Amino acid sequence: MLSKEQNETLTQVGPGKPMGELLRRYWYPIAASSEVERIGTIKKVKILGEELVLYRDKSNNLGLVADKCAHRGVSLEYGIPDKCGLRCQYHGWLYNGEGQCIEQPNEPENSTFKARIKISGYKVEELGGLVFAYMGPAPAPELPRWDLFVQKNVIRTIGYAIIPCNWMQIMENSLDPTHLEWLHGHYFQHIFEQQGRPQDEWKITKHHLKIGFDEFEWGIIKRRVLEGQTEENEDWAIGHPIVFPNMLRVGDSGAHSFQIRVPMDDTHTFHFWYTCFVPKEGVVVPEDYPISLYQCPIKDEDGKFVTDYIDGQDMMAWITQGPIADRTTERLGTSDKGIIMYRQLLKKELKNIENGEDPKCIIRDPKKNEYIELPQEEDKFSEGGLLSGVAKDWNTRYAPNLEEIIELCKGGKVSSSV
Amino acid sequence: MKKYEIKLKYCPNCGESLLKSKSLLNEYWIADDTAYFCWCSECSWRGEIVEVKRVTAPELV
Repeated sequence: MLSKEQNETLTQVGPGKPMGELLRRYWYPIAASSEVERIGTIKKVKILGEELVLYRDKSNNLGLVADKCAHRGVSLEYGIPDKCGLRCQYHGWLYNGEGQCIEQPNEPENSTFKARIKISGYKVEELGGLVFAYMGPAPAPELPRWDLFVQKNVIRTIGYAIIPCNWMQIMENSLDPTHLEWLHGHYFQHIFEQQGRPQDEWKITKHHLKIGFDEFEWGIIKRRVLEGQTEENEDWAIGHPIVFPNMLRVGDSGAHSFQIRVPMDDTHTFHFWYTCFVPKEGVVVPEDYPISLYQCPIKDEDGKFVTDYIDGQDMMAWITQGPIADRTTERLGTSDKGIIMYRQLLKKELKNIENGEDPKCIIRDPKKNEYIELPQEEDKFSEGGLLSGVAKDWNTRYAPNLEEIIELCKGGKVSSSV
Repeated sequence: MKKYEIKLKYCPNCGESLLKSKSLLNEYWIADDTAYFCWCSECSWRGEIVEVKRVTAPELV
């Protein structure tokens, strides 16, 4: 249980708010590269409380600027990508990638007016099939080259959803190991029962005997010992990390994935499920195989949460806590210590930026950023490649080419129509 | 739901208020006990305080 003020500090992400300022120190995925690969494409996005437009100009460069033209507030979502920037469709004002106005076609030729006109403009870079933005103070740190973004010989998929709740309650789910045996275990069995599916096929109901959390260079490593296991098992000995401040790494020997939570505003989060399918030993997957992009449904046509897949169950749990979870009425127990640890880590890093220091996970040395390997258990719950074995019960079931990916990873030869 | 009542107020190390929004004062429960996880943004002291309702000792066999 927290005070109202301390809850607000953790959950408010807009400019000028303490957490908003901390979060601005990091790079965020804002689109899949495939969404903006065509010259002239514009995508409207909202990140950290700011309405922005991402565009690809006629020089094939990506730009990210404020959605509103400084002239009369027209949305640049309908602008005209030019040779070097984005032009307002209303009166032709042209903004470069930094948001500086560089042309006002109907003003006097010698006017200096445009030099005093600037809208927000932010750095963007592409990596691993995603477009990332940096909205913090200069100089921008390195865009982290986490292993999954640069790993060779894997097949990638990108799922996404816009979640109507605050980013913190989504992150706290990742510091809560025991929800697995209930939300994704016993509750899933209940769903199976309702659907008439056999219940004994499900293996995620083992009871947690012990959970642990260790801070490390890139965040917090989450560990568990399940019934029938010891500390020798990979779930404890290796575990998997929460990468500070907004990512979960999870998977097994057959599929590694990131869950990336991008705060849009105080009550909405842009969520990515970024998965790398790992082929069986000796199989080489096609190098230019496309990265499929798919939306993960939150509710069905009756307005009910879709709860017959793991990520749908998570979304139900996140969203039903309310747009911003009221932590003044929560009742945490000992199994929630990971959540408390994460809250404290956020506060500690807030203090670091107040002291003029870089917070955790800011990388300035390019040599350190060539390939950042993260720990992750591969023998999951002592069941081997359990999660990849149930790819049809994960968000990946919505990937249009899932069957083909499974075939390719087994060594099959199929030609993609994705 | 009962109204939130903050029983702790000050850092045991430096005396600064733990109610400041940049510190963390997180109440939780360990079986019958009410516990407070504290982190002071002023001095960085981190610790837990458990409210004592009944004084017990291990069996002295």
